[in-house]
Amino acid sequence: MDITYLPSRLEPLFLGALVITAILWIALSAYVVINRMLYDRRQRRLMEDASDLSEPAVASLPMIERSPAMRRALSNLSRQNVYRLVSRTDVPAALNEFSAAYATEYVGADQISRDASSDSRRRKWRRISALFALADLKAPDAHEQLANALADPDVDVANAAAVVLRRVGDRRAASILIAALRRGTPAPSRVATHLDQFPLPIHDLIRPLLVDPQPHARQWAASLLMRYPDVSELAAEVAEVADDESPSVRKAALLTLGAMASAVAVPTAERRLADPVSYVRSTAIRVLARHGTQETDDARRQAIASWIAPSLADSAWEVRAAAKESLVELGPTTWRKVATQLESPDEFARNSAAEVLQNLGMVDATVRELPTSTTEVVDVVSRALREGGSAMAGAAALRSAPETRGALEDLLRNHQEAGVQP
Amino acid sequence: MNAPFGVVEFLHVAYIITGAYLLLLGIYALGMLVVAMRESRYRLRQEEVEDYDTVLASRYTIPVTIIAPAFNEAEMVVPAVQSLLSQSYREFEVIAVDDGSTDETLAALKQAYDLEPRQMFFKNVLETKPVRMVYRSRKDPRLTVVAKENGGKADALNCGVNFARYRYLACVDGDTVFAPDAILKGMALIAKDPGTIVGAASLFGVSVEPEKTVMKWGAPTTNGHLLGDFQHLDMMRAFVAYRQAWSQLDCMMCVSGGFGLWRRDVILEMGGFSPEFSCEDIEMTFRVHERYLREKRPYRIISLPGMVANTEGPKRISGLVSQRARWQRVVLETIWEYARMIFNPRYKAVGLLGLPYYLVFEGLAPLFQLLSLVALIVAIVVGLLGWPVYLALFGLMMFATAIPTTVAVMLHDAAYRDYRVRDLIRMMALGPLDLLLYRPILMWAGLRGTWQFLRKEKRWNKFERNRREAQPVAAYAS
Repeated sequence: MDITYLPSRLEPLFLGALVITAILWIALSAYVVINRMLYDRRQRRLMEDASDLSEPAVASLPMIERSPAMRRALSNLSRQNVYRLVSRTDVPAALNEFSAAYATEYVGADQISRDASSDSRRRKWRRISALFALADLKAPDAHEQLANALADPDVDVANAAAVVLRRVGDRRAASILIAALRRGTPAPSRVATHLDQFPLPIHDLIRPLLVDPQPHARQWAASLLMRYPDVSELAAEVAEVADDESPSVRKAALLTLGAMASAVAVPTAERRLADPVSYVRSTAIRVLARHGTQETDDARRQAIASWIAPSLADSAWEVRAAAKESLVELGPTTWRKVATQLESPDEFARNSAAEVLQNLGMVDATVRELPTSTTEVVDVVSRALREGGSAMAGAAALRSAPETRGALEDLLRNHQEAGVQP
Repeated sequence: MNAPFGVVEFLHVAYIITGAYLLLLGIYALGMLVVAMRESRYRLRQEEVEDYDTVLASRYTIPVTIIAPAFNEAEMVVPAVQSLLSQSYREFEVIAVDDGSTDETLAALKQAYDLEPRQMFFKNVLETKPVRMVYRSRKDPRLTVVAKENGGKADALNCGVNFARYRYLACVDGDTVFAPDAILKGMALIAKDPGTIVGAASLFGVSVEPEKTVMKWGAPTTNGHLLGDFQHLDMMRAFVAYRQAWSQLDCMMCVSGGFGLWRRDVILEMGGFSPEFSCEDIEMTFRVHERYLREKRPYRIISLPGMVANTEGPKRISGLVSQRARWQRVVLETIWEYARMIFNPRYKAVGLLGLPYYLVFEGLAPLFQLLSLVALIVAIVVGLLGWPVYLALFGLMMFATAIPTTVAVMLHDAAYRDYRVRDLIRMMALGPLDLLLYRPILMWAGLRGTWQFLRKEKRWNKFERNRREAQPVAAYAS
């Protein structure tokens, strides 16, 4: 068949296709516009009616009787859309509750319960909405259904159950979340997020996890107890797991002790500066720095700085970085402790000490007040400029006022033999 | 009229090739739209039940380092950095890398953020061009500005990686303004499965003056500028209608340079972004796929729903051609580099679906377009095609190509309801004009990019920034 002349032969077909495609495009575009306008109108009404639900005049009425207008609005929605309203976290909570109450009337409590227990993948969003509804309605089987959902292998179902359990906010809900934390599914960080913001104090439920045989359970327990700094004996219990065999548990315990401002925090963190695992050492440094910055006794602060300063020569990058930042946080009075590292055999420790002294403002202050500076200070700053290299001298020159540039040159001249060029 | 010798044979072949191409494209587009609609619905439901307030307040969010390379972005860099510093996320840092700009980029940052030079020793994990100076902001301690010698965007990103402190990286453009919840939305999704999700891309809009959105994000509008709106629609179509489908099919082919979240250890394991390619983003995505699939390691690269940013698009046709020619070049460079993955079952959906798509509908598209255009012109000239048929065919193509645009607008609106109705109408009305006014520009840019690829050109070809009155620095850096 010769297809060269095909386009001409197919003219009627092209015309027909053109008309159909144009109609399809127009219809689709009209659908988008009309759908949006209807949505806007419905949304406006729903929001207006939702504000009525919280009026004091109707507060004593059962939820479903608080707004006939809302009832009418919901009656225009499909069951699927009513269900969606129950679980949407971006609308007022009163609207969720009203929708849940309406859904009970619409489909019946039994059906909601059945939907909440369905393990069909295709109906998982219906299941999630039903879980929200059960919680809003305070249904007797809500906890059981939520516990099952939290153990579901589907990430969306399990995460939604965690959200709902925090909303439910009673001790039974907390126990279910804690059981999930022990189990390790869904992602423990997500479960911990909800336990950390749980509306009730639940330290007594978390505490037993400190001696759980599973390291991840001990780790999360140590971390979650941070919220309860005033509970007696808690710091001592957490301090015990700071020597746990698992490094992640040791790290969590250190962080919690640091946040609790407990008396045991400093000696524990000091001990852990020699931890074999680098992230535990860096955490210990940060905990010490946190305490040091709150310390009013300068001698204690100096002691903390002297513990941290040798970590500038640590074998792990993250520990060195933590030491640098922590020494800056401890403030300029600790400069002598930092300066000791300018003599370290480790080049990076010398560089880092110079960087810390720069960030403590020592270089700039000395440049500004060179005539009144002591020989010791001038010597330390000159050494720092030598160890910091030409880039540090260049940065200092850029920071300094024109009238003090001469002083900077004097400092650099002290070490000209070392080849430092601004 | 009898056609001259050879013309009939040419048209014969041309019709078969273009017909087959269009059929394949139609089937592909339809399939992708169906998958994208499913994915869009899924992501929307996921967002609806997500408790963002709890995530935002959580101590357990994963900290993020945002790296924003900038080269000659004097007008845009301050609003871009300000939008990054305004992120509603618990713990993050911003590293702006000035890649040897020759304009006032660094001066604008210095003025806006009261920068002071500091020597900073960092871990030089990835080789980059020398760092000239590091600046810390006196106004916002979360901001570090690194001034380095010019080495291209990949080099600037690698430099930022060297300074990064956190486990996740948000690699962004220095000419882009971000929604306040961009990082939160991305990380909330990643945090559900941080062990597997190694990268995430998202939709960003195109605006000829994106800095105007920084002060009031929340109600995106169209540009009111024809070329800007076409680019915006193009981006929306690519992201909403196609990339969401790729995400669902586990063959997300591009974590765009405009906004991409990566796990830092993955970038380090890959040896950093490669400066050997015209664009670093597609190549990195391909490299991650190649390595993880070859080594049979579990991973996912996903596309986030929703628009997280507005980037600057060219206002002039010459700028657009230059930009798109570079994109075409990098597509061809990457396909050439990773050709071994095509139709190789070891690379699963990436090798069987993603890469063939890139080859046929991106890499070779300008050639098919050129062939069909030439065939059409020849057929008209030799009298084998009358004007009525031509007009019917053209009209058919206009509306057929407008449908994916309308579906993209529909999916976006169904999920976010953020455009005004009149903006929706404007966007959809532009759909049929796309073929007439916008596609020819892209075809020309594609051909130019193909030619540049064949000549092994590697120039960045950054388009000249749109001229406008700069907003006062104080307007952003408050």
